[in-house]
Amino acid sequence: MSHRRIRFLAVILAMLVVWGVVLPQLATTRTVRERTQWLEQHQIDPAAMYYTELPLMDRILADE
Amino acid sequence: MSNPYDAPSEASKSDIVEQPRVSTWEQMKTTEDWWAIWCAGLILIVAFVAVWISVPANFFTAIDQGESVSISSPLKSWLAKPGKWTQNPVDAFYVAGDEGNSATMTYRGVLGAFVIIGVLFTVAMTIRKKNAIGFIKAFPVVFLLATVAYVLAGQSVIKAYNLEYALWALLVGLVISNTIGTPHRWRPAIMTEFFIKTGLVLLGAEVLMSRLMALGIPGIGVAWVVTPIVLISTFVFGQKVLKIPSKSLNMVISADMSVCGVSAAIATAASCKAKKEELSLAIGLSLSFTVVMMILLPLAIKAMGLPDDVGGAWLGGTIDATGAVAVAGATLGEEALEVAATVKMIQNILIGVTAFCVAAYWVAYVEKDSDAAKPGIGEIWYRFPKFVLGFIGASILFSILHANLAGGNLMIEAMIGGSTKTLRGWFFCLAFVCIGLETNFKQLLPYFRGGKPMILYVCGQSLNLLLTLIMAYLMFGVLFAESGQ
Repeated sequence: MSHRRIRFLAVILAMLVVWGVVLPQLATTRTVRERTQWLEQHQIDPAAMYYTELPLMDRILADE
Repeated sequence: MSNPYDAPSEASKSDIVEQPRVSTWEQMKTTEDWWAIWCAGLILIVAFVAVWISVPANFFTAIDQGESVSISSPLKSWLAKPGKWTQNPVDAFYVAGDEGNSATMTYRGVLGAFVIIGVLFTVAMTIRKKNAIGFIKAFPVVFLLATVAYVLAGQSVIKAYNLEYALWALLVGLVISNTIGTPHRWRPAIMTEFFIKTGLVLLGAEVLMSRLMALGIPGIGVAWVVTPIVLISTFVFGQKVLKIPSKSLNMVISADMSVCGVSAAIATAASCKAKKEELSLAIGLSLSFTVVMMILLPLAIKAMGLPDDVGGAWLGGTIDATGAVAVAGATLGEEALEVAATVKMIQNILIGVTAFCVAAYWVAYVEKDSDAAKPGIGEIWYRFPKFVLGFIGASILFSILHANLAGGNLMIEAMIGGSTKTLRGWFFCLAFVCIGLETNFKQLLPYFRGGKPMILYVCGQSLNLLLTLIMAYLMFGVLFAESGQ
């Protein structure tokens, strides 16, 4: 197997471990669960790129 | 944006090959800029008509009588991105229903987005006499990679810490291009500029001018007075003091730091034809500092004892990413959250003006030869990136409809929320995957030499923090403190 393919498979394996094992485990911790609930309660999508992607804007603009 | 394989310095005159001039009519039939307008325009027309014809029979009567009405786009269930998941990535596509909750089936919407973008671009490629067959063969792979990026971004821990899909889309592309290499047969579907420009014209419909006065004069003061001052000052600082070799890199960093992060970086990069690596670098800087500011600024506001509205305005005017502004605002309280999110929304709307001014400045002053006279109107029109006109045109048209049409606000919001916002997200995600697929880490290294981009960002953001704090305090704490805004 070529050097490039080995590097590719190593990166894919690392990503599988992080997204398949580490992050799901982290998500079960109390800190992360509380933060997720808090975000949902405030209708916040922290990854929003533009204001139309923020669910809470509907509420804020409706109150105006 | 320009080719990634260009050298970081300006091209020498001997490298420039004179292209035969083509008429505007000919450009309309062939160029990417115009086709971005046609494709996005068609999507916007179909999306608006779909909402228009699906409103209930009593909709306009109910609006006249001031009753509360709720409408949604009939396209909504056919357009989606992978959703949030925590333990099992399959949840991003399908979650079975349970007591009282219906099943979530985003896979249908993902397939819908694939078909719409695939068909639209295949038709566009055919009419433009490009490699449509090659596109049909390669597009499923590129779309699959964009889907993977969305799934990576949708993990709940990742999502909770403001790591936007742009970062993961870049990563997915970079992993392939820097290990096994991007296969040649994928090239026909790697159309970064076309995806970005089409996405930007769609974004234009979300730039609603009627939102500008949401906070009255205080909001304008923080978002529309300080922001241009910071943008211009940072750009001048980068040119005169730091002497950054690439003006476009300087402009993209200045805009994404002062306006609103990734979305402003995309719009400015396309307007000043920045290199793909420059956009990647600016976004990387912005996302890194956003995470830090999202945590530290609320602590600073509490330590300084600032009122919630002043603190919220400071957050909204300085933190780059919209989602991070909301997170930081919410840690201070409901009032700070509302002011922060609204100031950010007003600043978001500045994207249209920024893109137009940057494009005009670039063709009039930056692209001309140093020894040549200022180009005339005809020359400026010829060089002007036409997709910016589509972006501005969509913004003006949908702002007018939103403000003046009976029930227009509800229809435009249903159109954006139910269809165009999702497709715009897919176009940007596809663009970032393509940037990753075309970028070699070695090409990024020259930009890090001397640390100038980071110095520019830190100095510009410091000025931004200072001026925004002064303006927020003046507007919300002194001049309009009694208005309760």
